[in-house]
Amino acid sequence: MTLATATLLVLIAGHAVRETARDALFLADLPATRLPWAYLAIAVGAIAVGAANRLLLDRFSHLRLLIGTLVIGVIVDLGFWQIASAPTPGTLLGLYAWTGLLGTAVTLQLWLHLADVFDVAEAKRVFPWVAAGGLTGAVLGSVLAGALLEVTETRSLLLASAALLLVSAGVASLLSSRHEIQSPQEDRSSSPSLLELLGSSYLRQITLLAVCVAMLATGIDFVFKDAVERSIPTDELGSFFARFHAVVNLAALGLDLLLASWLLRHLGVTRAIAVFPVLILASAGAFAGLGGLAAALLLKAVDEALRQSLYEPSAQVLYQPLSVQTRNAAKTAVESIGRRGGQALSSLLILGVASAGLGAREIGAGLVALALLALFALRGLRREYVARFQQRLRGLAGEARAEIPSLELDSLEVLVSNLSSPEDAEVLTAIDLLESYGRSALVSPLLLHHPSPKVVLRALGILQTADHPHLDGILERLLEHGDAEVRAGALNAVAARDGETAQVERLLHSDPSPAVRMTAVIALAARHEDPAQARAFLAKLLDGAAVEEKIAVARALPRLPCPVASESALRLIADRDVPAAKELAQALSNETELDPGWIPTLIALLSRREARPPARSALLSQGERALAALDSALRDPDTDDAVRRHLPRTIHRFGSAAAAAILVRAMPKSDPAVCYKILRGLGRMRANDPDLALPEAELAEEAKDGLERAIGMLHFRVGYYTWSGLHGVDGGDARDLLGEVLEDKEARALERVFRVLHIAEPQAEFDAIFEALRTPGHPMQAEGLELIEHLVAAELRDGVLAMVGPDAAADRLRRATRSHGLPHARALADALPADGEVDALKDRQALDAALEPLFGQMLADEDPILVSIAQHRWTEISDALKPLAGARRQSPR
Amino acid sequence: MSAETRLDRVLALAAIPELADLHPDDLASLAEQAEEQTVSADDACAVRLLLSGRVEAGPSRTPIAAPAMIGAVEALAGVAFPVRAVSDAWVLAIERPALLWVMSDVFETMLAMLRHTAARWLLAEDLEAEPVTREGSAPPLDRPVSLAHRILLLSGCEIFRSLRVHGLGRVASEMEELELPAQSILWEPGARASHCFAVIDGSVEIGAEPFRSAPLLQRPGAVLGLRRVISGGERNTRAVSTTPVRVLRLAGESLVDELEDDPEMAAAFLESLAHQTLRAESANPKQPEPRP
Repeated sequence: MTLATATLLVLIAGHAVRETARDALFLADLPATRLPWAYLAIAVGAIAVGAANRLLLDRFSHLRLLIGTLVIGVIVDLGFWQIASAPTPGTLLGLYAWTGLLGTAVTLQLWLHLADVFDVAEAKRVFPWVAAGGLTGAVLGSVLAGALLEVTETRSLLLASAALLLVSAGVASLLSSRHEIQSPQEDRSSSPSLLELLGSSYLRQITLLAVCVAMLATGIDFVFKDAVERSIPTDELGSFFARFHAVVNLAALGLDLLLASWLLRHLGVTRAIAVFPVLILASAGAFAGLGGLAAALLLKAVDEALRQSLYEPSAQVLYQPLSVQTRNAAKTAVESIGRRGGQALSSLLILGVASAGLGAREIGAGLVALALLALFALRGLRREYVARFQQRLRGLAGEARAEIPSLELDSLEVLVSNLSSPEDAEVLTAIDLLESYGRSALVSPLLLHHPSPKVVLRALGILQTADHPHLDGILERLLEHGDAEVRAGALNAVAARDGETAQVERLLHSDPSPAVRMTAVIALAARHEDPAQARAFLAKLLDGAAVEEKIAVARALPRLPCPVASESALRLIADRDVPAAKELAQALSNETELDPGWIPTLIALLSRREARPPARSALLSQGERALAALDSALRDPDTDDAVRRHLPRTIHRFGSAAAAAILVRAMPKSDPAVCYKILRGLGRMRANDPDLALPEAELAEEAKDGLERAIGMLHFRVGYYTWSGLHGVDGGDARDLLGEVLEDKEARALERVFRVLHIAEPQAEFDAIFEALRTPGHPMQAEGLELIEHLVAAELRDGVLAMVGPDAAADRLRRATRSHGLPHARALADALPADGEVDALKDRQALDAALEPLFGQMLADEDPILVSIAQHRWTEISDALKPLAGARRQSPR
Repeated sequence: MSAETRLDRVLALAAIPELADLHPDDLASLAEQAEEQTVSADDACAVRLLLSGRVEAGPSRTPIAAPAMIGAVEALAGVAFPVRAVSDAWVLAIERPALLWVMSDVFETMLAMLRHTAARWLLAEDLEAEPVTREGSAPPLDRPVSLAHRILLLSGCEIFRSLRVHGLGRVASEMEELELPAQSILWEPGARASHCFAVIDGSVEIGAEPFRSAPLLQRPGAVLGLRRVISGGERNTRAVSTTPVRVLRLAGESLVDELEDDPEMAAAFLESLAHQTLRAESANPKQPEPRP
């Protein structure tokens, strides 16, 4: 940064000296009305320079090009010094144009180089300082020019400017070139064309802004010099320009140091830029109304001071969301079309105004209109600026979760052909897929002849209630199948279809498999009308039943009236050593018209991993009734934790606004694990339906809670390490459990904040931003911070920025507590010495006071893991401090 | 990628035994991240899903026929695993970062990998006692043992060592403390592997029946029976306390639930499992090569 600042300082100092010489020499011999021709010459020349610049960039880096241009500048300055002894109008026009072109070319090359070297966060910090270097150079250059004019003639200033250019070339050669290892040839292939650039609405807006600002600068320069020419004697022009530029540049420097950086950080890029046209609007209005030298000086001073100190550095930041190739091409294009096109257009307009016999005040009125146009160009630019960052972040993220593709004719053919695959797994998946697509009717009864019992059982589940003319016959044959599970399944299907009791009774008495006999018993019991008898019968059946018999019961239970069957179902589920839960859930999900009385059983089945998918599917098919039951279960404090933790993801599958509202309402009362699941569920709902209505106020409150939790954990961690340092306590266990757990809790609380933000505004890409910020070395970290500045609501912004920023923990705590009033955390942040060293007794006392309640607060925390680890650590510390006579000992409570 | 191609991939992936239990949507997530590959020897860390044809895999060029998942454990451990086609082969490759990414979002794929990795470890070492890094640590005196001590106990075990404290705390919270007399059976052959155990105090002997070699004697800090809990299935060994013991018992479902709740912890756990598996395989060269 220092070298970049020094380069710009010397470079601009040289430019200020040359500019003073140019203006004085020009206005001494030529009238101000010739200035528009000079502006035109600059504009035309700049287009040629821009084209040359693009060509040369293919061969040379920005830095090399800058150094080369500076060296050429030295030679040309010396040439002008030589011929300016007897100036002609052509020489003066040439000098005027050269000064403008050289100034533009070298500053552009330097900024392009800096944009390559710094990311957006560094740019926002560094660019104002570099710009300040430029302003300092302008002040020094103007002062130097004034001093030289006391002792020598105006022409000699060109010698001084050549010398300063030479020095700046030397300093520039020391600049870092860390980003210039890319081969320019490689860049060229991906550089967008001018048409592509202008196809971007963002770049069109930037170009329009640049055109307006260039036109303003040209118009203001003209009215200023016109007023000067009318009011200042020719022999005083040189010293007048030197003094004026010195004063204005000094003001610009002051603004830059005191205000520009602050404005950029606090208003954001586009609002900071808007300050410039607003003030131009006011001063141009004053000039248009009043006219005269004073108003012209004010207008020029506002333009010079704000353009250099505020507008230019802010406008440079506008290019940061673009890729390196686009940025380079865009800057060159905006420079050529925007700045020089604006200058040319402005020159032509001034010539037109002059030929129409109108004066400077009319031009002032035109400046008012231009300032308004510049403000118009800024409309929506912030949104576009943010969108560019999001686009780049999105390019690095993506969606891991995919779904089966939508069903087309070709896909349908693939599925149906896979039903005859030799691989059982492929057949089973094809059946699953057809069921997912709602095309179960395409599952052919022929599959019931499949050699694999697994396939036959799966097909039976689908086909058991199908209206197929030959199905009863096939089922009858399956009752004689060699595999007992298939026979039981077929029997179950027969019962589901209200088949003949005789068949069932035959199997009950003749089948060798207990599982088949058990199925037959249930089928018969299902036809029993007395629930009490059926209940007693089932209880007897399950007592002492073998595993495969219990599985058979689970498969057949949906045949029984609900209250009776669901009681037995709960008994079956309770036995975790029997894999009956999955079979029961699958059987329930196969039912086309399931009794709602099964809902509590289905909810209980959620506690079993293998049963969860079919249980969820069955709950979904129950619709609103199931959703209401799930809501009650989530709110009921007596719900088993093993069930509760799976409720959020079950509820989210309903995908409705009502489901989302249930989840959002449950968040504040849920434990962290359930809350995390709720957030994941809501995130998935948002991904599936970005327009889903969600209660915004509750979400905002949740984000705030998460942020305060994260700050609280940071407070504990900073406090713990500070306390340990002050008391000379070492790390304790080989593993620093307390430090680690506090870091984990902080990270998880921050993750919670970003999940909520993402749910509230999925299009803002908060998930990608968080991923970028928490991944060490991620290339988009600076962009992530920039996006937070623009996207996060004001009440959270500073706190979030502090917490995710790259600063040390203590500094993050200080920043975070400035915007979030956690009294204990703020007390510690205030007491922490700025340099980390506790020197004075006063510091120590304040720190001790802030740290005194620390362990007590940790032990009173809501998180049992943190409490246990803090207690453990306190015991360790107490044991370690016991032998130290006079050591400070405090109770943790 | 056309819908037809995606569907083809989903159906072909379903034929791979390790992935057979996945829902078609989960298979679609894997298929989405995979790239069709011409297989030739290289050292990239990718999981190869062999959908048709035959290949040779690994340094010993083990022949493998489709359908098969190849090099998953190696990819998770970041170890090179060359694969070479010996006939026309249709192979989908998933690079390690893409795999971790899918698994973090679609837990069922993570679970499939956990099961596959644990099963491979069991093939190499079926006497289930996880390596302990901190031998001889004094048993905690508090009763019941505090959460902090539980965390320390778990973090002394190689497989849990890389987990963050928050995750260890969650797992430790799910553990149930038991005091058992000598000769208590923790598990026996044929029992469903539903729980694993961490020994707080006392010693436990594990052996296969009939004993092929001397049974293992495990002391405080040891975690027992974890692999089978993850891989699923029934025990083929017996674990008996040789002294009165204090153990922490963890239900496999609770562990899996915790892993599902914390994808980062699950990924760290899976990587640790992969490293342990490869270490066990290299220590026991008699173990079967990847499935032909």
